[in-house]
Amino acid sequence: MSAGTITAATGGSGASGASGVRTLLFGTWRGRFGIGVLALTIFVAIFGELLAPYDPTASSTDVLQSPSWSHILGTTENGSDVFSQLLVGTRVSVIVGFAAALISAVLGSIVGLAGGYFGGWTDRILDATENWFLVIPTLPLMIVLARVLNPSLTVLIAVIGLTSWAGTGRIVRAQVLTLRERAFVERARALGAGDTYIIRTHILPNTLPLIFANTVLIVAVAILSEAALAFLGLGDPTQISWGTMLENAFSSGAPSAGAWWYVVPPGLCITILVLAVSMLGFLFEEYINPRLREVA
Amino acid sequence: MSALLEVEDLRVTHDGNPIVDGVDLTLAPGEALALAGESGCGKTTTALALMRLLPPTLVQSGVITLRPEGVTDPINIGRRTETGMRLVRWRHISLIFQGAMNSLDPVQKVGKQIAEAIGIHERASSSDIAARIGDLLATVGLTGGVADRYPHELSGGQRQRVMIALALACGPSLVIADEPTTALDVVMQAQVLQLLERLREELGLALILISHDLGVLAETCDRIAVMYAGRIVETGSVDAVFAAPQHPYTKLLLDSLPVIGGDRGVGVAIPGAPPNPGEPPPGCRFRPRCPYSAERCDVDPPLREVRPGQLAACHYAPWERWPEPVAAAGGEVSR
Amino acid sequence: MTGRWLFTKVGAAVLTLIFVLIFNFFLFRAIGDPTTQLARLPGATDKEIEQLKSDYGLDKPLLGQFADYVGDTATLDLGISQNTREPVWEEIKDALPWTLLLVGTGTLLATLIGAWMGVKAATKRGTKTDDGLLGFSLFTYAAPEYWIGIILILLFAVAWPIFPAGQQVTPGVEFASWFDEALDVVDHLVLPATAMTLMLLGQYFLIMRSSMVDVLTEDFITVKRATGLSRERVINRHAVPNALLPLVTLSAIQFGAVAGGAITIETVFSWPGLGELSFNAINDKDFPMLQGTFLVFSVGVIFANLLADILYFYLDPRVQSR
Repeated sequence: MSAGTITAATGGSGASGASGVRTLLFGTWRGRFGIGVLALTIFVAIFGELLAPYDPTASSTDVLQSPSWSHILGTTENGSDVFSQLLVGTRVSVIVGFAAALISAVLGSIVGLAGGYFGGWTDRILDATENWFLVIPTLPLMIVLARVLNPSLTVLIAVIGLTSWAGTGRIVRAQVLTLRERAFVERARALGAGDTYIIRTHILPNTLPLIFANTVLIVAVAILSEAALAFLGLGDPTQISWGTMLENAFSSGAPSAGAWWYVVPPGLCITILVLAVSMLGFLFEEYINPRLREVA
Repeated sequence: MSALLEVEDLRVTHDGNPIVDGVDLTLAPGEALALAGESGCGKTTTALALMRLLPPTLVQSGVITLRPEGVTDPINIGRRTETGMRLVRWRHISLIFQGAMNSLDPVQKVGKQIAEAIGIHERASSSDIAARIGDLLATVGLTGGVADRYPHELSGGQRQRVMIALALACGPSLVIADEPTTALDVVMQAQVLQLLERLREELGLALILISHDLGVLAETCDRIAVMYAGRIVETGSVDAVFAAPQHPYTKLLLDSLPVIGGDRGVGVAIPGAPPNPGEPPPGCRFRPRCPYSAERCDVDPPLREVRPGQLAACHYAPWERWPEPVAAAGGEVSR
Repeated sequence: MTGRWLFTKVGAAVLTLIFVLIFNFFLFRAIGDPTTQLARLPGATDKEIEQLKSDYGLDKPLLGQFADYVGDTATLDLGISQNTREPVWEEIKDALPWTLLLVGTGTLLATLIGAWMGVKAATKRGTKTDDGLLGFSLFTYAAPEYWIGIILILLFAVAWPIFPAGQQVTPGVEFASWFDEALDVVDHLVLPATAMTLMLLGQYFLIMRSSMVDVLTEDFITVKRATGLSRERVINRHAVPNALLPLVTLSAIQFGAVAGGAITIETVFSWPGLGELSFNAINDKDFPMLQGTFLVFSVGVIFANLLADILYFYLDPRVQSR
């Protein structure tokens, strides 16, 4: 799904300045929700094993039991505790989400920067590459890559990162193109400044906020991508994730058995985390947009 | 002969802040009234209020009475329901916006849009309507073929003429033209103004012409009302007001017009900006930018008759002659 | 004028397609020399391997192999499925209509409902209706479509068994007429199409809402009201047609996601389309099939983009006279 196109239709806020960020994050209910969920998720991602009442991989004879006092979210087809799996599985979503988004951001920024700044054939080739990645259906592409490379956490992060950068690339390129023509860049060049200097001092600082806001939204996309790949059987087989939980639930017939306790929680966690991250992303976008016009 | 339009104490507020702050107007049938002032002074809001077209965030109050020819009972615009207003709009009052670029639906042919307006107010066969459209276009100097065009296929001047044709389609007694020439070059400007003048004569149309360009207004209008910060600060016949303005704001506006044969510099712009609707300055609202302000100006001056047929809202009017502005805007001049 | 524009668009599409072929070709060469796979055939002697190599054209230089690949693809020879030993294209050909049915229904419903929601939200901007619709769209965006699909099964096929839990027809039933069979398909289509619609709804809603909000600020809307038209008529006859135009091109953004959704939703519902073929190919490590479905998905999306451009060109009078 294209994160960059779901614009901040969720309502505006007129904050500005450094304190503006704080107001945005803690003063709006969207910000509080986003920060709250994110903080909780990271906490669980770190301490998942400690918090889990059972070993998530431990099987038992209580197969597909509905929620009870001993298993608050019931058990899986192997008799494992759903709640424990849920807690431990948080880590994968967080790691893959953030790592893949980081790779995507770096790659997209480099491509967008190089193309936008240097223009000419460099730009044409890079832009064409970008457009190719934007047109080609993402999940099929990820599937093909992940299957060829035999899935693991690293492969997942690499595959998602390498296929999600085009959106960032396009935004960065557009911004660099605008900045390149601005008076302060012309002045710097007239004074004999080199490309590296101009990029480092003028272009990058005015582009980083944009990259940051966009990357947050890419985190949401990455989380959804990992879950989808895991659901289809391309997740890391040695790790539990919310996606693999859904995969196991589905393939073991949980839906027809009516085992809602197995099916609803992992998907709900994905939804809530993606919601939270997306809201934060939109908030940052809103914050940045009016500021971008006051480029020095 | 009773007035065509009478406006008493028109007020428009936004969140409690006054955008239009007590405007009175009268218009005789066939008369052309100029409404002048800088952007943001409330001219367009006044125009929209006359047709009850303000967005729901703006609250309007005041009495607006329309007495079109041939209609027995006067139309109380302020009290009409929305459904009632739909019968009044275009049939008795119509509107020409500036920038006809966006005034027409881009995905519909021009003729269809005129036909739609006619169809709202009259039962007429499609051949009648087609004939009417042809006549209207001819009246504004366009060929019948224009009806089959899309707005973007026409030039700016042609589009503006189409807007005028549209505005006349239902035979209103009053046309409000809001900056009709601002987006046009000088040549087209003259053409459009001549057209409006001719139509006024032939059809007996009353006109409210809104502009920040006094030159345009002088050409076409009989009377003028100058607005500042949501109020009328001067009104009178165009000849009288232009020859002898009685309010400092009017004087400065006239001064800023370039004069043929005079100095070649750009006209003197009035320094400063109009006040925020939410924060009117104490006393006379023009005081912060007035080069002639003095002690009495810390009381808000009422609009009063200072010369026969001429009203101004200035304590020191009537002005026989204008003194040298001793201080820059905001300064005090001793009298 | 039109010809030139069309030529550029089609040219770009073809170029994109060529790069898909290049990608496909090199990716599977990257797994390793195909001969190593052939060498897994039990008891293959070196001579037999050499023979197979030349049969498959694997002894030619790389460019030659690529030319072969392009030629094969053009004649719809997409290889043999490693799993079923049937030609890949045959299986894809049978599966394609089912995917088109699912995706077409989902997109159509999502566009109609999403656009309607968008108009409602834009005309009631800032009210609870607007907030509610925005919240709903955000939720459907964040929720994985396959999860929604499973929940739909839980609710409407298991808890209250109104609809079937999977497949496209009831197995083993003889149908009295073509019409009856069609109804059975529709019955099976409801849940997967609902999942697909919910997945796509949010984006169409947001685009339409944003587009409507922009259009409603235009001068001509005020002018239409000034001519005496009612609010409803101004919205329906003038605002909506103008707001729909960007929806046509902007909705192309979702075509890629549609392909992904087809895969996951078909998997959940055992819907016999390209998605299910892909899913099976993943599990069986059936590379020719994966290559084939990836190619067809890409072609589909590229083609859909082209169609959207052409449709926009046809609808917007302003573009036509460029």
